Amino acid sequence: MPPDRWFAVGLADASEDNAGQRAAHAALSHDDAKLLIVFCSVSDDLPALIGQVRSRSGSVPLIGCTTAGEIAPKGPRDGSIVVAALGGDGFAVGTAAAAGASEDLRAAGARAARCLPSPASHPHQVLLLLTDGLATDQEEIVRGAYSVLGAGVPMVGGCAADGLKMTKTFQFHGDRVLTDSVVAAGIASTGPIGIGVRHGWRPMGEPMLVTASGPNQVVTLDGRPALDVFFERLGAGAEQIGPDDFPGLALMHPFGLSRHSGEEQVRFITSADFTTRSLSCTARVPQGSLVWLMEGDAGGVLDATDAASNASLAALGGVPPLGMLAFDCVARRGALGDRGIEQEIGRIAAVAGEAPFAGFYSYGEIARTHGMRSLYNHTLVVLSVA
Amino acid sequence: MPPSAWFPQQLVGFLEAVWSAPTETAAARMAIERAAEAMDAEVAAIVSAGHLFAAVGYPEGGVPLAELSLLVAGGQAGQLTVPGAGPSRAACVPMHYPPGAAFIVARAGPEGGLLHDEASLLQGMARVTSMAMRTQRLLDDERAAREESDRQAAENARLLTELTQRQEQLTELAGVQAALRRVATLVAAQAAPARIFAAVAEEVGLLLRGDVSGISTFDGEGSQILMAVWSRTGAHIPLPIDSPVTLGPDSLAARVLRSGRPVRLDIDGGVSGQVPTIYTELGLHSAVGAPILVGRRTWGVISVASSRPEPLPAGAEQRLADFTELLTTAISNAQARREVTRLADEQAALRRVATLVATGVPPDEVFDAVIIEMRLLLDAAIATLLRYEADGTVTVVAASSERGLETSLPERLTLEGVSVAAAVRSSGRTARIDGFDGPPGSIAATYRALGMHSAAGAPIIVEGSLWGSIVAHWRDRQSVPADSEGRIAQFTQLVATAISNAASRAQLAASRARIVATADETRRRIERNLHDGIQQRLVTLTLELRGLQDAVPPGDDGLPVSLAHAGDELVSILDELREISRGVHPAVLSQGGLGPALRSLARRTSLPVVLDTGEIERLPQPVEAAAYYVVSEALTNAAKHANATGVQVQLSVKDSWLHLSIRDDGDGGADPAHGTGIIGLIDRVDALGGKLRLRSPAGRGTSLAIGLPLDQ
Repeated sequence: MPPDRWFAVGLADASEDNAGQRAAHAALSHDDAKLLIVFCSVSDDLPALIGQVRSRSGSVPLIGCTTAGEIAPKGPRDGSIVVAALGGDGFAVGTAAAAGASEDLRAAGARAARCLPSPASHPHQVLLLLTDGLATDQEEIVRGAYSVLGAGVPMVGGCAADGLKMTKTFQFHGDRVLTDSVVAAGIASTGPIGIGVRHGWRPMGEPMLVTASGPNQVVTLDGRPALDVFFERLGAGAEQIGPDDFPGLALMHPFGLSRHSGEEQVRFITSADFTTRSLSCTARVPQGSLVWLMEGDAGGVLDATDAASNASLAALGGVPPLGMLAFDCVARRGALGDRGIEQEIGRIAAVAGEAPFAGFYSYGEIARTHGMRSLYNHTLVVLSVA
Repeated sequence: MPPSAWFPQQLVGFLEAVWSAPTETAAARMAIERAAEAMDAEVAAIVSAGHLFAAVGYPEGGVPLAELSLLVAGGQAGQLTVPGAGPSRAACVPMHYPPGAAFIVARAGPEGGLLHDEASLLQGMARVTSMAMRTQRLLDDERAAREESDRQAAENARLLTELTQRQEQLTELAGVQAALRRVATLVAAQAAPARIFAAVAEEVGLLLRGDVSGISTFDGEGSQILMAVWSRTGAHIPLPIDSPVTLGPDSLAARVLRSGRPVRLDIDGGVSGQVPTIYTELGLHSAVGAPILVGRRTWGVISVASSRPEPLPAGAEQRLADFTELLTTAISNAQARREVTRLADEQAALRRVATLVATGVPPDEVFDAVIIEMRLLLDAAIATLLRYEADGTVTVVAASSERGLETSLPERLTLEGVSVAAAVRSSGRTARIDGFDGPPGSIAATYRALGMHSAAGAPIIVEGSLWGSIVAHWRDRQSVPADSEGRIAQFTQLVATAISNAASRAQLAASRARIVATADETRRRIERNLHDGIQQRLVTLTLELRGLQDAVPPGDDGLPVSLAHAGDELVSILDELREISRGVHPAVLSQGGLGPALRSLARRTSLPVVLDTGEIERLPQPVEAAAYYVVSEALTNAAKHANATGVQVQLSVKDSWLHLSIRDDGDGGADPAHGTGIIGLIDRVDALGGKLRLRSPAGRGTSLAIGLPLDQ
């Protein structure tokens, strides 16, 4: 008799023949799969790769996206394909894709969220969202989904990536390979679902008030040009740091937005305008927000890995996990380095124990368990299913 | 930056976001979302009692309006069920706008209540939201009003355009209708087709703002015949009316004829044909034409041409079609009228001839009448009635031409060569030929010489034998009407009947004369026998009885009395015998003639008779006998049946006819069908070829007029 719920992961090097099929084969440990979740690097022939998966899985619902690195029990990868499968009568799944999302990101989020099934027999629900990481305002997507689901349903997910090329990301739905889309899987389960969210960065000094901001832009902090304040807080003279040095500095010093409960919401500073002395972020930093510059080290980031994984398990209320999905910020990868991420995956594996896991390095992480704000950077989001 | 700066900065950020919303609803939605985000709250809403403006944190379609309304009614704070979290602390800030609304925020968890700063922020946010929503409402209303105004302005403009167009259409339509009515009136009044054509050409020319219009018919031989032409300026169009002009293969008329549909055409020098050539010379650029259909045939074309550079108006084809229906009706009417007239003429001619035949006029009169009527009816040049003779010749019994009865034709002709008479003679049926060919003296040569080209004829068959034929001749093939042979045949039947009747009548009259003559002769012999035999012997016997009476001796009283009685009886018998012999054949008629006989008759009649015989001489014996018996019978009828009190009898002789008139003042109502007396009179008169007319209206006496030919 097959298990009521099961979770399995398959992995293949995308350059191998029929990689998609082999990864799917490994993931499909039972016949009654309900959902396939596919993460892979951007490659020349994604439709062929998805076709290979589908050649094994048939019509099992499928969502997925491209990455800035894949996460699997054997370690982090580039150029691989990771397939997670969940199945059994204990899961009920609906999927959706909202193409052309940039026309109305909020509506795309709402459209995707409506796929959630709600059978009375499956009380535990989560919406898994995969968005185009190059979309201008990811928060609008999440707001759209929240307007449909409300506070009763948690959300997790990540923003699709393209290996830091920042040109085009792809989302998968069924046999379709999309871009500028939101794909979603609404998962209802008879077993509990846990979500852990941690970044591991520490606030530096006093908070600052965002006194002027625009979309994805912080113009002034405490009434002064944001870039100047940024340098000042880091103790670096503006004359010493040029544009070339800025990315490395920003990677290690994101903004942290204060919030009522839990950790600060971290915002990745993507670039600086040395003329207007403003800073650009991956998402909006509202005027009136209290923000800190954050600092950290590999140890702290790895601690966050443990914390997020454990938090997601803790939320299961003692029920052993069947598997995990990890949405890890590409900036954390940058901060950890190649060795660091090997260690990070090892830590996840240690927490997961027997449970398989899959995930990817993303351009943004989605997690909503309380409040409305649910878009993160520099953060690891872990979803555990039991 | 002091912490006191946090509050206004938050509010400024909030204000910027909310004021950027395009509508009131969007402003409300944005406000609650930003508030929830700012305060890390799960639920935010703007609600008035029973009305939801915006809410977030609830599943789609699952906003608990009642619970939220209750919170609004309750005041500043309370509890709210946050989905996924259960009962939580909620803040509720009244708003200036919308009226009665409150801004609600609920944060899950045991410590969800708002901090002091947050409560102040929420107050500020509620005020900002009120202002933004109110402003947006005004803007929304104004936008809606402007859009409505724009929409109405556009709608008004559209309506105005439409109305103007309709007005133009109506004006045009009214013009069309008026024109159609004018033409229809003409058609209904059965005006001459030429007048209708001219009217239609003018109407369509004016309606379609053309310069030249025309109506033509197709003659079926590659030509069109112009029936009417109109020009805007009234200038003469150099095209012949009523005579064929060649149809150019690419001309408008030819295209209409080929397609059977309306055609538009740009006239340029490349279109050949007489009409296009003239149109090009007249500077006409474009033309439109439509077929005129009569039955299934394209009878003709109606066309309008314009010299202006722009094309003729859209819908010109339909306008033309409107009129072609009327034209079709007019043409059909004219044709139907011609057909009816023709039939009526034919029936009238046949009736006249039939009446002649019925009244028993001599065949020669019938022949003349037939030949005149038939020629007129068939519009033939010459019509002849021929009798076939045993020697292979024909006798021209009667002939007529445009001059009337034609007597210039030879009386005898031969049947050699090609002629209808010859064809009828050999087949016994109707025949039709085009072209004569035969030797001099033949029918063929004679008619060819007279300029005849076509002929049609039908046999006269009397009592099953071919007697002759009637043949009509025309100068050309086109003049021969349809079914000429069949129509001639109707006349030949009447002629045959007339001939047959005349023969029968002659036989009947002869037979009756023989009967009457025999009867009269018998009567005369009886009268002679009576007079010369029995009467003489009775007279002798009477005289002898008178002698015996005188010779009886006296004393025998009985014998003389008996003898005297016998003598009286004999005298009485003699009187009766004389009476009888007079009735059989009055001797006075044979001896004294009609006058004395009628006077004797009048004396013996019980009624007063006024007799006017004039100076009448002796007449042929059958005539005297017939007249005597007619008068005798009439007097008997007047005395016995008519209750007359007097009778007038008048005799006169004029133009070899004896005219006899008998009138009484009796009851009238005499009917030849009842009572053999009058039939006997008719027989007697008919036997002599005489005429008898009886008038006997009820209550107004009876009059008999009799004519008896003296030429016996």
